Amino acid sequence: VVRRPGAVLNGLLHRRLPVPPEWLRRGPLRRKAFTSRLRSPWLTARLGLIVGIAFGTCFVTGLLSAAIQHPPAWFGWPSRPIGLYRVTQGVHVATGIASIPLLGAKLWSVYPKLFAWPPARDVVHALERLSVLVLSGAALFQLTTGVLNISYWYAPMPFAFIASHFWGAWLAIGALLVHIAVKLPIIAGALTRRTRPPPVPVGGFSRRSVLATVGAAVGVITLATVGQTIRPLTTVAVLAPRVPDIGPQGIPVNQSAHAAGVIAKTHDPGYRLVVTGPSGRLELSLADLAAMPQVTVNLPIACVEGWSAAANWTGVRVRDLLARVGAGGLPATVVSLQQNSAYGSSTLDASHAADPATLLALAVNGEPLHPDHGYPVRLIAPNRPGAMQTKWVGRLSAVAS
Amino acid sequence: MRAARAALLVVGLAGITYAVIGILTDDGTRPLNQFLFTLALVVVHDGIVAPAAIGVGVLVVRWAPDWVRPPVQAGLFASLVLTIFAIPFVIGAGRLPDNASILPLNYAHGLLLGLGAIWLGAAGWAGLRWRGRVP
Repeated sequence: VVRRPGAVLNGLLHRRLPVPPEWLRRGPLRRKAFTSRLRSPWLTARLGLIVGIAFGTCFVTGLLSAAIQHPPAWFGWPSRPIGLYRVTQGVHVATGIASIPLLGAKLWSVYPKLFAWPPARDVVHALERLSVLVLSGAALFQLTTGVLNISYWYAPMPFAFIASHFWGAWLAIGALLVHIAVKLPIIAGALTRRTRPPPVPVGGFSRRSVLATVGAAVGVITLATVGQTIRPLTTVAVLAPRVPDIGPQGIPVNQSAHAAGVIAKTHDPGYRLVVTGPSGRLELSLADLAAMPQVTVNLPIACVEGWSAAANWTGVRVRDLLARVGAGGLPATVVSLQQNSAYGSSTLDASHAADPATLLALAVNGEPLHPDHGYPVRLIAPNRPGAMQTKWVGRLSAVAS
Repeated sequence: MRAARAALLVVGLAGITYAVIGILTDDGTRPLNQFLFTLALVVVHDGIVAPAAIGVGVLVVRWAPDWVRPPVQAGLFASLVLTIFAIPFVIGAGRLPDNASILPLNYAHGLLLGLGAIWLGAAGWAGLRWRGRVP
């Protein structure tokens, strides 16, 4: 008898797997080992929905940040509104932090399933459990590496943070979609059916109080940290990785001039800013730059690590410099005196290069730039990650579009 | 429902495949190290943190009087989450000698303040329950 391949596959997938001997069924594997009556599809579906929204938010804002820093050919990012990146990246980090209690509660609500008996009924069940392992592993990986990154603690991570966090996001979101596909009937039933919750044990928690508790934990951890992005909350931000007004000249710094190894070059009296474009090349000393029309703008440094701090920057408009070399309307490359660093140069697309608020700044809050903020000259542009606000600028080159 | 499930499954598997290819081919990733790191996280969560939290919860349910039980459970959950988050900041290994703007606060102090706020809230809730004012 010849059977269709589909039927053979179906048979293999659903063939019962051997059940381990009963004497192995001890401890948490016992029937009714977990006694809490709070766990139910009603609660898990709601917690899962919130975790799903949080992870989706982190995924979208994270991909956006990656695209801004390494734009694919089809992607464009405008220079306005000024604070958009500050908001999207602030949301990315704050949502990731808030996901810690959310994920903890979600995993608690399904923890007994870890000890399901038999461990795998058939191949489909085994695959489903494997996908849950991938999802919970990827979720723990994303939150842990994210926290290690904002605490600047790289030693425990034997891999590059940016690359692994990026690919981990794809793994987590892919596994999340597979998980929703598998559980959709249960989710839909739990979220829509008007079931009466089982009676609350006297003096105990209800399932709603579990949600309220998770909400309170989200509130506490958010209040303790979000002041690094939202100034009025700085006073209660007792666990903020950054404080927006702590740093040289009242602004935080990611990389110091000492760490970048640029001090000899930036303090060389022979320093010249080189500007190149289709109609020629300029070499401008600091005095030449100071003699040009000066503009002051209030712009934030918005870091990929979620903190942001606004300041008043004074300097020369990039578009004025580009116009002097016949490069009006062109994109440009800004190159630092810092060598051998991922942050040693950045590209200004045409929209940022032409924006009247895009400056090569010589001063901040009325003082010449501190070396750690990019003395003698730094780039400051609206709606742009801090990593692309190139410091210690030595060259501005128009790029033929 | 069937079509939605099929679509979610296909897109999800595509995402996983893209991630696996990326992890295996990107210059910055270290597939074996990332696998072992993830495995360690799962073991620490499923084998230590979750059972410890559930064990403490069972003790609270068994021993704490009714009026104090939910505030204690809520306080313990929030305390655990805040403490786990605060660990890398309290250790402060990310500090740099030439950059005082990185991790500028006293995070042990901050953690204690946060825990204090949590238990103040829990005590207030328990007090109201004791007087029979709230559920």
